[in-house]
Order: sequence, then C-alpha cells, then structure tokens
Amino acid sequence: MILLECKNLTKQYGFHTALSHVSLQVGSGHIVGLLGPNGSGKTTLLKLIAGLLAPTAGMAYVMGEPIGIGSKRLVSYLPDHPCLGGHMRVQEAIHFFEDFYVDFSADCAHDMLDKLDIDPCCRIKSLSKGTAEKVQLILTMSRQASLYLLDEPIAGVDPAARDYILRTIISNYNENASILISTHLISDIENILDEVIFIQHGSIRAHCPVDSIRQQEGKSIDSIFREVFRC
Amino acid sequence: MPWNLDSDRPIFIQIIDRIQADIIAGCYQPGDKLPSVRELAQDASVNPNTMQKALSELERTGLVYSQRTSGRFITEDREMIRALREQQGQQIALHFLENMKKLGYGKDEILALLTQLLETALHNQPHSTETHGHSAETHTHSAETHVYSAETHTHSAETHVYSAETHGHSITPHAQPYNAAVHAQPEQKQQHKSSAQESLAEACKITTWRIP
Repeated sequence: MILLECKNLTKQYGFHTALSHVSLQVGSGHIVGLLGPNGSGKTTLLKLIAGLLAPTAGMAYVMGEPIGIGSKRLVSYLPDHPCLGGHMRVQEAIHFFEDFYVDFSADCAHDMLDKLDIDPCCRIKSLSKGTAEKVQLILTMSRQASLYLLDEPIAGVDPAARDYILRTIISNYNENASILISTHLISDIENILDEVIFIQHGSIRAHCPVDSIRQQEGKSIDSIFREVFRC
Repeated sequence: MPWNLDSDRPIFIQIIDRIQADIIAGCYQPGDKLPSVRELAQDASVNPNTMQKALSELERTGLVYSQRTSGRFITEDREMIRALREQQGQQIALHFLENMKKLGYGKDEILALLTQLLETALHNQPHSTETHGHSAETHTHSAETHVYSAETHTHSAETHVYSAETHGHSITPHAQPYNAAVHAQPEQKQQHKSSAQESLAEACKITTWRIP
C-alpha cells in the first residue's frame, strides 16, 4: 500500500528553488533515509509533507489524504530545532501532546523518559541540548501515527542513547507505519533503513533499497554518500 | 552476543551467515524455535523487514521452516546441518590457503605449520575430541564443544606466533592452557594481529573441526 505520495512537489523561497518537481512514493512498513548534503532540500521536503509549508506547485498525499488537517492526524513530525516552550516542564509537554493528539500515549512517553533517565519535573529550558532533543523525539515517537517524519533525530544525542533510540524506533513503530528520517549520521542508522533517498539541489538523485545498493556497490551507504557528494 | 555487522555487505546476507553459524555451532538445536522477527531485529539492531528477508531466505533453503501460527523452527534434518558445516569448513580452509599463498607459503611449509599448531592445540585441549560422535544426540553437542575449543586454540595459536616473534621461530611447547572465560574478551585477540596470525587462527579453527 502506498502511504506517502508526492507529485511534482516544488517549493520556491522567493527566487530560490528549494525543491523542484519531487515525485516519490513510500509504501507502508518501511524505514526510509532521506540523505543529502546541507541545503539540498531535506527539511523543506519534510516540512511540506508535515503541512508546515505550502508547496509552490504539486501536491503530497498521506494515505490518499491531501496535506491538511486530515493528513496531520496521520503524521508525527519531529522538527530539526527545539519547538517546545522552554518554560514548560517535561510533564506539561506530555499533557500538551496528550491534549493535542488522540493517538498519543502518555504511558509510552513516561516509559521512555524513565529508560533514558530524564526527570519529568524538569523545565525544558534547564535541559541540555541532547536531553531536550531526546524529550522531543520521545514525544514524537509516543504517537501511534502512520507516518513519522524525523528531521535530524539523533544529531545531538550521545552514542549509547542513540542505540536506545534506534531500538525504540524499531520496536515502537507498527508494521503498517513508515518512517522518513533525514540525517547526516548515516553509518549509525543505515542498518535499520530499508530504502534511501538521495537528494541534491532540490531534486531526487536516487531512491532505492539499501540492500540492493550495498550488493551492487559492495560499499556502505555512508561511503557511497561520501563518494557521490564529494566536495 | 553482539552481531557485529560489516558495513560493506548486504545486511540480510550477514544475518543469514550468522544464523547458519549459530545452527552449526549448536546455539540453536534442530527443532528449536527461533525468536520472533521483531525480537531478532531488535537484538541485531536491524530493520525488521531485513530480518524477515533473511529468515525467508533461510526458509527457502530449508534450514528453517515455519509453522503458520507458532513461528519458525530450525530444521530437524541433521544431515543438512552436517552438510552445511562441511561446506563452510571447506570455505574457511580455502580462504586460509589463499591467504597463506599470498604470504608465499608452500605446501610443505603449510603442512608443517599446521601439524605443529595442531600438536600444541591438542596438548592444551586434550578432552575436546573425546565426546565426539557417540550418538546422534551428542553429535550436535560436541559440535558446540568444538567451536568452543577452536576458539581456545585460536588463542593459543596467537600466543604461539607471538612467542615466535620474540624468540625467533622457537615454539613454546607448554603454552598456558587458556580458560574460555579469559578468552571471551575479544580485545585480547585484537592485539598484535597480522594477516599471518589471522590465517593461523583460522587454520586452527579448521583443523580442530577436522580432528575427528
């Protein structure tokens, strides 16, 4: 089943084209890596699918639903920058999400906070950068969404917690959901990816299954990335 | 046990290799139930779809079979496991020979070296072969002992090479018998590792398999 479909998605910021004619399809039950150099349009693509930006042209659909209120119910989005009010306590952020999303599970969030040793009574502004990122990721992954959009989910997180988070991603998402992850830490996540999308200058350069590339090239996705995008 | 997946080969192939090795080593006995796809995927930190693909492939070869509702099981065809073991042993041996050839070793040199190593290995692990092959039941069990002892041998092989380095080709006849618990730390193996030593280590594994 096709979970996400983008048709000719284009986004211009003034005269600058951030994304041009992107068409792609993602089936259900897949973990897809969105990889590309800085400024290639990854965040723009995720924001368009999340419904935070309006496309200049083209359209995206999540489970046949055009981007809008209906699609936002199905999509759980993790922005690449902190989005929670610093004055909030972690506990309050959980209430906030619970109030906002029908599919949010507070138990699941508390469970993960506990595992990562984060005190729910802390104020978000008092947390370190990495811990604040963990909290935000926990909130995103505690929803039972159909599509998760994770923009740089593990950048500021220590390697041990990274492993925990990856395991959480594997065990938490249900078989019909898909995950689109944008990241630069390719070697950390490539074992959990099914497919990769290489994006450059706002266009898709390749979209293929990880195993087939590794078999063809005899290299890891990480080294292929370094070759393809050599500066 | 960590899965130690390389980054340059398709993951599902590495998973297949790993599960096959576990079956040969007796970690999974014939007829045993495999953990669920999700559990295995989590354990190996890989995508569940990849794990699924690997298991389907194993199923296709017949090494694993699935029962519709109750999960996947290891084949009870011991003959098949034995054949697989033989095939893998041969592969490792060929690989070893290739590496030795690269180092310029001739046939006699290889044979002499192996004989020497084997003697030291046997000296250190006199009981490893005794349990072998009494009945079908002990057979698989002894396979486990074998691999286990092969590891110990590997270690002794390294000690051997190491001492050869310091004393110029003299052999240490009474290499310390190493205890498996000590051996379990892979860091110890990493030190002073050269391609020759790797080949030697592999040689030892092979030769212990061939002892019976």
